[in-house]
Amino acid sequence: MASLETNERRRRVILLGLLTPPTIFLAIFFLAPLAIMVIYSWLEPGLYGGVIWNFYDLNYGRILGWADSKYEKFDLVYLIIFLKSVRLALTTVFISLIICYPAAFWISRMSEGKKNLFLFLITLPFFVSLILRLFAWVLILRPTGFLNQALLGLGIITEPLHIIFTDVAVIIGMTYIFIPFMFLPLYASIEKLDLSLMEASADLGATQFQTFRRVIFPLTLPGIIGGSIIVFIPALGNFIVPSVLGGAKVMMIGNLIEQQFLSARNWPFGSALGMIVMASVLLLLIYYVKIMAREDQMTSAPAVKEVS
Amino acid sequence: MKKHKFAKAALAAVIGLAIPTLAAAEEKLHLYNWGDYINPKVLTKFTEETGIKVSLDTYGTNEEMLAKIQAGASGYDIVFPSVHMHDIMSQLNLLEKTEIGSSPNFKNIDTQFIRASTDPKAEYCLPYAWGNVGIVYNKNKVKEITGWADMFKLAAGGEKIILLDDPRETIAIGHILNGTSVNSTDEAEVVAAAKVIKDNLKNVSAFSYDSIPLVTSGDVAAAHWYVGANIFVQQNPDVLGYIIPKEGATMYQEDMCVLKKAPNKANAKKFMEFYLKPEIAALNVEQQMNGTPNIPAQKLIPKSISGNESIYPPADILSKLQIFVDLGQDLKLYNREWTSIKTAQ
Amino acid sequence: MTPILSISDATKRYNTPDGNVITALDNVSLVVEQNEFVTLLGPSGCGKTTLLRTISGFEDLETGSIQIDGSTVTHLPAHKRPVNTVFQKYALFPHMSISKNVAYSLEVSGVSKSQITTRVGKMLELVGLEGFENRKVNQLSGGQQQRVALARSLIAQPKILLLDEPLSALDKNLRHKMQQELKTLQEEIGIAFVFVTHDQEEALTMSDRIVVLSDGKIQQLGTPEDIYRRPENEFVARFVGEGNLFDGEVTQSTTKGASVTLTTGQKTVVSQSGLKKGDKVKLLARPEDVLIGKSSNTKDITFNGTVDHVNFIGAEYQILAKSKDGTSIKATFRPDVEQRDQIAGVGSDIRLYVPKEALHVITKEKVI
Repeated sequence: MASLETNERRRRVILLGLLTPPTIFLAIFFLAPLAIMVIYSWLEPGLYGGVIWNFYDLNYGRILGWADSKYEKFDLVYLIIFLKSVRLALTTVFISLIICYPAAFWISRMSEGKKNLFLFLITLPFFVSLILRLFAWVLILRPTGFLNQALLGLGIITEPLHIIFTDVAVIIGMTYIFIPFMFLPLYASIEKLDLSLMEASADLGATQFQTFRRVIFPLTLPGIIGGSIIVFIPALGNFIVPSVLGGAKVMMIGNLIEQQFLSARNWPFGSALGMIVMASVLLLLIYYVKIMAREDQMTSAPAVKEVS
Repeated sequence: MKKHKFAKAALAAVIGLAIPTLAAAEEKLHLYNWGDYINPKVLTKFTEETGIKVSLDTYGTNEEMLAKIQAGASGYDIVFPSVHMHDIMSQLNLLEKTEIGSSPNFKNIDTQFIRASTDPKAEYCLPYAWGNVGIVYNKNKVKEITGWADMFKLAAGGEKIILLDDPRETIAIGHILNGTSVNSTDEAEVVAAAKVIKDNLKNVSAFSYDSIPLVTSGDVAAAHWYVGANIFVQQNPDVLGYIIPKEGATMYQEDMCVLKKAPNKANAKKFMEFYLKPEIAALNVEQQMNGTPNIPAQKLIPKSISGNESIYPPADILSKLQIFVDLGQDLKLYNREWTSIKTAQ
Repeated sequence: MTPILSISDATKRYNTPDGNVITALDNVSLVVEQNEFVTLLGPSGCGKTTLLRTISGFEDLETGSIQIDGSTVTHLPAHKRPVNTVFQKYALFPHMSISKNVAYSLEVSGVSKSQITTRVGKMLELVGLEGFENRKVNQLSGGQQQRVALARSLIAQPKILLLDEPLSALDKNLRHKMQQELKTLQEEIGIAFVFVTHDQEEALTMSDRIVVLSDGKIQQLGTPEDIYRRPENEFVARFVGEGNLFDGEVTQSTTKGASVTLTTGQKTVVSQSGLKKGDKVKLLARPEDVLIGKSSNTKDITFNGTVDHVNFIGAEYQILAKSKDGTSIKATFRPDVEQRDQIAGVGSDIRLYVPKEALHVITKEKVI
C-alpha cells in the first residue's frame, strides 16, 4: 500500500511539473493582458495616455448610451462602425469559403506529392511580410495598376475601375490574407471525408446535388464553421487592410481601437471597444465549441465488433 | 512630421562603425527617432570624431514613441518629439535637464525656434528641425495649384486627392479655410472645421501617409503631405511639385531631447553639442531637405534648398504657418470629429 | 423469363500511375437469372470488384454492354440504376440516425413521410433491428451495422442487390451466422444477389452459382459442386479448396475414358473422354478422397511414405505425408470412435491411396 501511495504522489508531482509551465505561459501571455484590458476599460483615461485609477463607466457609456458630457458623449457611430466591420468580416468569410471549398476538394483528390506541393503553396505567402503583400495589392488595384491595365488592354473596360480605397479593396485584401486560415480547417474535414459515402449516396439514388446537401455538406460542416470562425475573428479586428487598401476611408473597429490607443491617447476607451469586440467573439466561440462537441460524438470511429 | 507609418516604423536601422584604435570599453549612444529623419552621414561622422557607437531605432508617430517610453522601453538616450510632445513629456517628467541652452554654440540657434512653453530657456532640449505641411501634386494632372481651395476644386472636378490620416492635420485644413486657429478648442469651431472636410469627403479618395507613389504614377492628382516631398520633387522635377498653400498651412518642429532614464547621458550631451555645429546641421539638411534653426548652417546649405521658398518660405508666408500645441482634454473633440468624418458617407 | 442481369463482352482497362495498362475486365460475359445468388470469387486484383462496380454504375465500361431486367443500363449513372450495393465497410452515414440511414433512398426519391415511416419500420423488423431507430451508427456493433447496411440497400426494392465483401470485417463466428442470415434473407425476399468475396468457403456455402475470376477473365462459371469437384483448370483447382495434383501423360484414349501414366510410373484410368494420347495432364485428388491403407485395385494411385505433419482441427485430422522421392500428399480423415487412438504419429510409416473414381483430369493451366 505504501508504495502505491508514493507512486500516486510521484505521478502528481510529475503532472504538476508538466502542467505548470504552460499554465504560467497562458497566465502571463493570455490572461494578464486580458485582465489589464478589462480593468482599464473601467478606468478614467489619463490626459497623455495611461490611466487614472478612478472607477469610470463612461467608456462603455459612449458606446452603449449613457454618457452625455462635453468630452464623453454617446454616439451611435461606434456601434455603426462595429456593425460595418461585422458586415465586411462576414463578406470576407463568405468569399473565402466559396473559393476554398472547391479548392480543398480538388487538392484532397490529388496524389500525395501534388497535395503536399499545393499545401505548401497555400502557406507560401506567410513567408513574405504582410505589409509588403498589401502594398503589392495597392499596385495591382490602383487606377494605373496591373488589373486595370490588363482589363483596359483586353478591351473589357474603357475607364479604369476605382477599386482601390473602397470596401471592395478591403474585402479583396482580407480575403487574400485569410484564405489559408479558411483553407486548412476546410481541407482537414474534406480530406477525411470517406469517398464511399458519396458512392453509397449515389447508389441509393441521390443526385449529385442531393449527395452534396445531405452527405457532403453536413459532414464538412465542422470544417466550414471552424474555418469561418478562424477567418471571422481576425477579419473583424483587422486594421491594417482597411488602412492600406481602404485608404483609411474605410474604417473598421480595429482602426478605431488603434486610433484610441495611439493618436487619441485614450486607452480606457480603446479597451472598452476591445471588450465589446471580445464579447461578441466569445459568444461565437461558445457556439463553435458546441458544434465541435457534436462532431466528436458523430465521427468517433465506428466500432466494428460484435458481442454475439 | 509623420512618414510611412507602417513600412518604415518597422525598420530599425542600426548604424555603428567600430573604431579600431579605440580602447576596450566601448562608448555608446542610442537614438530613438522618426523613420528617415536623420542623415546617416551625421551619425557616421559623430562616431568618427568621438569613437562613440551610435544605434538608431525608429518610430512612426509621437504617440507611438510616448507609449513605448511610458510603457518602460529602456536603453534610449535621445528622442525627437514634436514641440507639443516635448511639452507633454516635460509635464510627465520624462526629460533630463541638459543645460544645452548655455552651451557656447547655442548662439547659432534662432531663438524663435525655442517654442516649447515648458522649456523657455532651452534647459532641456535642442530645436532640431522644422518644416511645413502642404500639397504635393502631379504636374501632368494639375496645371496650377495655389492652395487648399484649389485642391478641393480639383477633387470636385473628378481628380483624386489624398489627405493625411491624422485627425489634427486634416481638421486643420478646415480651420485654415474657416480662418480659425488650428489649436481651437471651441467646439463649434472644431465642428465647423470638420464639416469642411466632410463636405469634400466624396472626392477624397483616401486618408493615407503613403501617397507619394500614387501621386507620382498619376493615380492621384494631389496629396496633403510634408515638406519632405521636396526630396521626391528633386528626383522627379518634371512630374512632381510641392507648394505651401496660400491660405496658410501648419508647420511642425521637432526638438532633440535627452530622456531622464538615458543610460549614456554624457554621450547624449556630446551629440547635442556636435549637432550645434553649423556644418553638421547643414549636412543633415542636405539630405533631409527641411528647415534648420541653425542660422550659420543656413548659409552652408546648397542654394537649391535655401532658395526653395517651399522649404524656407519668405517672412509673409512664414507668418501664416501655425504650429500645433497640446490640447489636453480637448483632443477628444478632435478625435470625436475625426471618427465622424471617417464614418460620414 | 428474361435474365435479371446480362453482361456481354465487358472490357475495362486502367492506366496505372507508372504508365502501365491493367486490364481489369477482359471480355467478360455473364448472365444472372431472377432470384439467383451468384458469387464473384477470386484473389484480390482479379477484377471481381470492378465487375461489381460496372453493374452498380461506378465504373464505365470501355466496350460491352450491361442489361438489367431487359433494359440496357451500360451508360446510365449510378443513381438511376435499379440496383443497390452493400459496401465492404458498409459506408453508413455517420451523421444520421439508423432510421435516417435506412430511409435515405426513399427520402431522395421523394416518397411521402408516412410511407417512409412504415417501410423503415418493416425493414428494420426484417433485419432484426426494431427499437434501434434513433441510435447513431457508432453506437452499433459490426453485425448490427451490417444489418443496417442491408436494410438501407433493400428498402428501395432493387432488382439486384450487390454485395462487396460485406462480411470481411466480421469475426469468424459472426461471419458464419451472417452467411446463413444473408442466404435466408435472399430466399425470403426473392431478388438476385451478386456477391463479391475472396473467401472460397463463403462462396461455396452461399451461392447458387460461382464465377471464378482471375486476371479479368472468367476462369469457370458453375455450381459450387462443379467448381469444387470438377474444376476446369489448375487455377480453379488450386484456388477453391485444397488438393493434390499429380502430373501425368495420357497413354491411351477411348470414348469411355483414358489411361494415364504418372511421372512416378504408376498407371491409372480416368473416366473423362476427349483426351488425346500424349496429352500432358494433371490429376486432382481432394484430401478427403485420400484414404489410409492398401488399395485392392491396381488402377488406384498408391503412396508409401512417412508422416511429416499432423494437424488436429476438431472434427478431422490433416496429415501431410512425404514419400522417399520427395513428393508429398495431403489427406484429411474423420476417424470414428475406435480409430481415434490409431492415428499415425509424425515420423511413422504410412500407406495411402486414392480410388481411381475420385480422380479428376485437368488439362489446362488457366484461361488467359
